[in-house]
Amino acid sequence: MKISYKWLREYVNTKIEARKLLNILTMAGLEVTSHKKIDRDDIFEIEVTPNRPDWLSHIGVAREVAALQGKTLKLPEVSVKQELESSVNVTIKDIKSCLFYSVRVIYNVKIGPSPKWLQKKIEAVGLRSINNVVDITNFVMMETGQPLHVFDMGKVEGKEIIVRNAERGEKLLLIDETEKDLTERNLVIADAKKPLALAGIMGGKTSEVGIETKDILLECALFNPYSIRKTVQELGAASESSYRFERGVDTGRILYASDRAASLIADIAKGKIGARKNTGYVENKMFSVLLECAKVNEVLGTTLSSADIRRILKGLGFDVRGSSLLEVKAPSYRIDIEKREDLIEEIARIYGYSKIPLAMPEIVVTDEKPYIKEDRDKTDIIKSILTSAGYCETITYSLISRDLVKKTRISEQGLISIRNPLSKEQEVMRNSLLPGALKVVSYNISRQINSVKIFELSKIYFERDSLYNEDVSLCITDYKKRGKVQSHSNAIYSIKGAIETLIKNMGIGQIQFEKSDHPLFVRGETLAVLSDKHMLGIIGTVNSDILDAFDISGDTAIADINFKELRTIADLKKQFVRLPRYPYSYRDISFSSADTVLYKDIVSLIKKKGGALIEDIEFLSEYRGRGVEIRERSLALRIIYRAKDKTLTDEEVDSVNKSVRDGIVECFSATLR
Amino acid sequence: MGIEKIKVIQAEALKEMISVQSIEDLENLKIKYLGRKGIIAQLFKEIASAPTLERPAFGEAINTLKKSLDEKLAQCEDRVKAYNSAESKSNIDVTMPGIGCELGTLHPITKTIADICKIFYHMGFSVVEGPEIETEFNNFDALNIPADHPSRDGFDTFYIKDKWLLRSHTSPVQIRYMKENEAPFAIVVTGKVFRPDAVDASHSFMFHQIEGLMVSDKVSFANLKQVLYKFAKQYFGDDVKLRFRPHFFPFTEPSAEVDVSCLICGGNGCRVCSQKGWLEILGAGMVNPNVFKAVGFNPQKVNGFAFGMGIERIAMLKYGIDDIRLFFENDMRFLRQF
Repeated sequence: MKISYKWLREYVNTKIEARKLLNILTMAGLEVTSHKKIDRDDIFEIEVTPNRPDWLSHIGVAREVAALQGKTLKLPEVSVKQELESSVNVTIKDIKSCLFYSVRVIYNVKIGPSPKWLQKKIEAVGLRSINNVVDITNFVMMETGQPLHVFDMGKVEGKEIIVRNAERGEKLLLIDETEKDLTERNLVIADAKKPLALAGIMGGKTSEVGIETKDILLECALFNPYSIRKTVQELGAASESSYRFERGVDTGRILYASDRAASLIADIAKGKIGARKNTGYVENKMFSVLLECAKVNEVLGTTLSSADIRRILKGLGFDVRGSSLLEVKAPSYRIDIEKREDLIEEIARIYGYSKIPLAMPEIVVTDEKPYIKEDRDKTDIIKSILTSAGYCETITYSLISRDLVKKTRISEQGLISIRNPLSKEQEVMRNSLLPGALKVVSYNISRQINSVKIFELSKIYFERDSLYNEDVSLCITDYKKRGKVQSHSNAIYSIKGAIETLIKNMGIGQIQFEKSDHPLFVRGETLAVLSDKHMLGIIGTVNSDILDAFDISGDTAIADINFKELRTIADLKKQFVRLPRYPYSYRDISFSSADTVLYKDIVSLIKKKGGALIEDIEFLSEYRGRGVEIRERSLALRIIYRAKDKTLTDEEVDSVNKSVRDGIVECFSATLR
Repeated sequence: MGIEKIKVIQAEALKEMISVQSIEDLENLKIKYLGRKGIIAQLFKEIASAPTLERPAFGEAINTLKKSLDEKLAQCEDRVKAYNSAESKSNIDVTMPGIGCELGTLHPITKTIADICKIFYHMGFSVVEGPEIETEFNNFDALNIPADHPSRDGFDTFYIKDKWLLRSHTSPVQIRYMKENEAPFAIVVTGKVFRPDAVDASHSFMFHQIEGLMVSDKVSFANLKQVLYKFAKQYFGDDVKLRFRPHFFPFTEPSAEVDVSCLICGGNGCRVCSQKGWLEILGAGMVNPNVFKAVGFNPQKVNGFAFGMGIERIAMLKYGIDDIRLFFENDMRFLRQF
């Protein structure tokens, strides 16, 4: 809302510089968001919070300035010279939606352009000048906060006003040229035949006051905020009037506003004022709030005296009785004062938040662990291991488009849809981290980045058995720009290595990698990761058609791990294992075999033949190409032999090694090199 | 007298030998001590001016010195020659780049959350998390934000079905916590929140928040101020100032918006703080009694304070990041900076 400082000063005698006032108001809770100097006046844009509708007018803001500066508020004197007795009848059909309706007829008005001072004021606060009478209603609204409306009396059929709910099927053309289809939930101001205006929101075009108008009807009413709000939302019609009714107007000043407008109209547009007809009833409930001064200091941490507290409240226009236990009555425009906390806030902000001292609270340290979620140490260690291994953590959107899910051929079962997405990108909640990961790879490639090593440890969402589930999932991705090569440096091995590193450092014993299938991954390059009976997840090389869909050209492998399973079997307790007392011996073995012979089977055999003396088997290299038969490959391994109780002699080692070598040849038809 | 001098000369000579690197320096040193006009030669000349009785001892000492210097200089020569010989020079080009190892990184949001939690943890707060899919009651009603009320304006949310929605702030976790736990306690809650905002350089439909809540029988606004001051100083630096401005939130009363003195200009006014000198970083206040009632706490017996901040905004201010979308694009060059 815009406030003109020049206009404001008509109600409060303050001389402080505009910039200073801006600061004072902002620090008292009335935030001034912009300040422009226009035409030797200072125009402030203020942000009024929903709890202070009394600030939605110049008098309201002036009142605040008076309270903050210790000045008095000057309200314009109003005297209505009523010259005629006549009026119109008003019937309120729905007293829940319209509590009070006051109407006055003003006869023989001369509609024309507003006087300069009025035009200036209207334009200063960002409204358009229409004509003298309409401008006066807007002026009084901006002055007092009470919305008013004028009708062209000539267009009111039957000379009576009925405040009723519309009937389904009724239509109304509003002054902004939009036509609304009304329902029984919309309150209208009607005459004997038809609706004239959307009550409290906007007038109808037919009864608009214009150059031809002779007699006008001045409405000043009180409508139920909820009913106004519902109609505003339903019909999509809003105005400065509806804004004020939704938030609450000052019930104590309704008639003042009516008189103010009437006297201005008589003055400026001439016209003879008729009698005012009031229907309905304005409840001026000023209920008391009890406040203990001790409580104020307890809640704020201050040491204010009862006199201080009383002074502040009185300065705001409250009625205060008592000394240590106060009975406080707030004036009619303070509809936000309901309980003692509301008073405590008033005291705090007028006293000044900056004056409230600082004091460290006594925080009871319970014996809770710092993170009330038992997975924290496991989450941290996974991130630590993966970052050490060179993977960067990503955070991707939890909401994605349905298309993205389809692109990865991931099942749409249990996918949670969003009812009101802003765009396609927010249609569903992701049920897998994979689509987001591929999107990140794709994005980085488009920025000429040749290697992407990322992981995400984050939630996926799905519906199962009518329940919404949120599970943490781990996704590790490796992308290398060059295509796959027939070697041990493909992305799948990096991912496998990352998993192996993770497992080793999380105290998980043995895991098995077993051939598996997955729509995202290349057949034959897909492995399920298991630990005994627990299915930890799946890893694989992404299919090239899916990579194409993401504009990814290169070697991409992903691991998709179920965090719940992982943390169930993880054991982070460290236990020392005695260092070996005797030295090791090693023997290298190099051989070629059919490439259908799997590494894991070779290792199995070696362990079987070598028994307890084999401490470790190291993979040295794999070779294909010149010197090796087609469909064969050459492997080089190093076998580490060590005994727990003595140093092995060369003969002992050779003997075991021979049986290993023989075993390999026999079992796999291998050729030793 | 003379003997003392000899000791000094010996020590001096050894010192000089250590710093000899080139053959030329060595030669110069040899000449200095052993040359025809060298120090040893000088010393011999001085025998004549020494007292008669001392002359033999003096002479012997000079001879010992000469022998020692001969030996040491020979050793020095060996060393210098070896150092300068062609065989001992390396022929690799050590100006080529080193082979480093590329570390992975934690996402800056993860780091920011961890850094902030650590500060509160040290003050005695525990960290709690909760579900992202929430009920309307926990997200709005329990927080004194009833439907059909202007206070719900500006609290747009993503809905799933019926009263199920995506939480628009982390406050629902506080509601859950209070339903399950008794006062006194102090917690911070972190996690993702969702708001249907059009995505641009400073808005995202998904972001992270951290909120704090402390409840006991005697917590005050003064405590809230102190806790936030301690946080600000530890996170942003000792020189920062805080400013508490009255504001309105449905779930706190009194409420405040908290500004920190601009990290870029220190309060003088610049583009980042829109010339104000202050950056808004937190919302805070004393818990509204209606919230306590909703979770079954007696507002006559307890009070509490709460505060909240957006993690992305804090990280953007701290690291000078100018576009919120960078957090979710995950460009490797962005991630590697943190």
